Amino acid sequence: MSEILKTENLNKSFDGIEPVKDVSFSVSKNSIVLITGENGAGKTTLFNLITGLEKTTKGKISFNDNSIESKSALQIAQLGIIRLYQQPRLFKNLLVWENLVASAHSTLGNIFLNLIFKSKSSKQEDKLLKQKAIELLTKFGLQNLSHQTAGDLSYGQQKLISFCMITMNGSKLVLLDEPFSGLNPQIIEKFSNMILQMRDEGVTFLIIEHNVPKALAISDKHIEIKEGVINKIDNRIIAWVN
Amino acid sequence: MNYIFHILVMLEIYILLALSANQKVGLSGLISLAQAVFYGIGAYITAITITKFGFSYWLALSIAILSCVIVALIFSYIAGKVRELYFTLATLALQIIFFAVVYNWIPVTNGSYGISGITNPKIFGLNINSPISFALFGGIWVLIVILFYKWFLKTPINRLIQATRDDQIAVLSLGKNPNYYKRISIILSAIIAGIAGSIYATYTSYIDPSSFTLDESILILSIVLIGGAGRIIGPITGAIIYILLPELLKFMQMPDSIAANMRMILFGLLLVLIVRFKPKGIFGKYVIQ
Repeated sequence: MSEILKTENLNKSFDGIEPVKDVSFSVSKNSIVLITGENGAGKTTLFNLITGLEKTTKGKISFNDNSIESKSALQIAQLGIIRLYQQPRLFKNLLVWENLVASAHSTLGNIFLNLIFKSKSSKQEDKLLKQKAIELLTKFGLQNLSHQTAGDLSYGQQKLISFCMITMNGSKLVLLDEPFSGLNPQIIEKFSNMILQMRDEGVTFLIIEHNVPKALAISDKHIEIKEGVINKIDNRIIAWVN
Repeated sequence: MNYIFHILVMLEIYILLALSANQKVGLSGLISLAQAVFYGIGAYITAITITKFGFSYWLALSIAILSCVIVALIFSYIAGKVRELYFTLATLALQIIFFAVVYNWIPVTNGSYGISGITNPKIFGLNINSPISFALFGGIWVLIVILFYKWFLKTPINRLIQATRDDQIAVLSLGKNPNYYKRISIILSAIIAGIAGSIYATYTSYIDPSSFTLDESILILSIVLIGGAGRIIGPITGAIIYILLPELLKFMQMPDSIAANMRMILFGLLLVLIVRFKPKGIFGKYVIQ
């Protein structure tokens, strides 16, 4: 299997602290990779480095064989790496379907001048995107939420909707920061199924999670980080059948 | 009768200003203390191009709008990168710079003496010189801006402008540039305020820096806060309350010398009550943070 993401001797240091000392690993396409470690082991910093929120001090990160360590957060997001934050980040004054349509990647409606020069096609596209958003919600069994204001949803629902937004965006590599924290077992079950469903559709996942058993059940590879270095890499056989 | 039309013209100008502030505060969540700057640029450019170069109103208006767009564009590149309170501080700086320039650049703006003799606009040979014709003229502009918003509020770009207001980092991590959406908002808001300024300059035929102070900017912001941000109806309600309040006081036979102060006291009191009991404003959709 080809590799979608690869880090080589990744290092981040500031003010004498080295949250990430030396991390090299690779993520193959269409897999789910779990990263675990104690608090302060450097997991979140690692995510910040991959998404470009923090600049790497040393080392390389490559995404689809392009090096991305010097690119800005916006450029990296446009290349197709997206991150789901631990606290759900959605547009709380918009309706749920509007949240999804606003998340769609590089559409005509993203550019102001298209409203004037391509008004017809951008209107049409917007209609299609709304349809697609409703279909996506239906696929995950969330269609009854589509006309609610996002800010009124419960914490668990907000997490599922922000996952739907990522799906709508169509990114190829998704970083999940503690997706299961604060969720009840039924929603974790539902969330796991959504992740697996997206994996089968060609999305690669990199997950940080403290709820190790639940996350291990769906992951193909397990990386344990300790004090900024990789402690153990466990290439598991894909345990999940269907 | 002329007096009623005068009130109507002032109401129309404040509706335009409130709608322009709503674009920034309501849709983009950017609290701006520089709304009077774009109002002032619209008024001053119109006045200068008409009195110094003898341009027609429409040419003057076009140049005024263009100037507003240029200033807004430069400002958004500098201030669009900072958020929340820091953005507000940047607008405060813009307001102070603008006032200092119009107050002190005497060869161009005539300083505190102001510019007089601004001629009235003409449409298709019709001279707009009476309060009633100005009320119609202003009414047409208000209608155009309201129709624009009726359409614009439903567009995908507006959805993204609002998304940027709700969560800038989420917009960024979805691969879209939040600064772009803020910039669009700042420019649209500047254009509408510029139009209001050009109507004001030709209507009063005299402008001086005292109409474009920080006080004016704060007033425009509070009109939006009282009326409510986010919908078209909110800023319009705010403007109506602000303009009709002194008329109500006059109706209650209050002498003019007291009424002017009473107006600000009552308006301030209303603002305090709104913030305490109805933080979304009378018709607002969102709480401004």
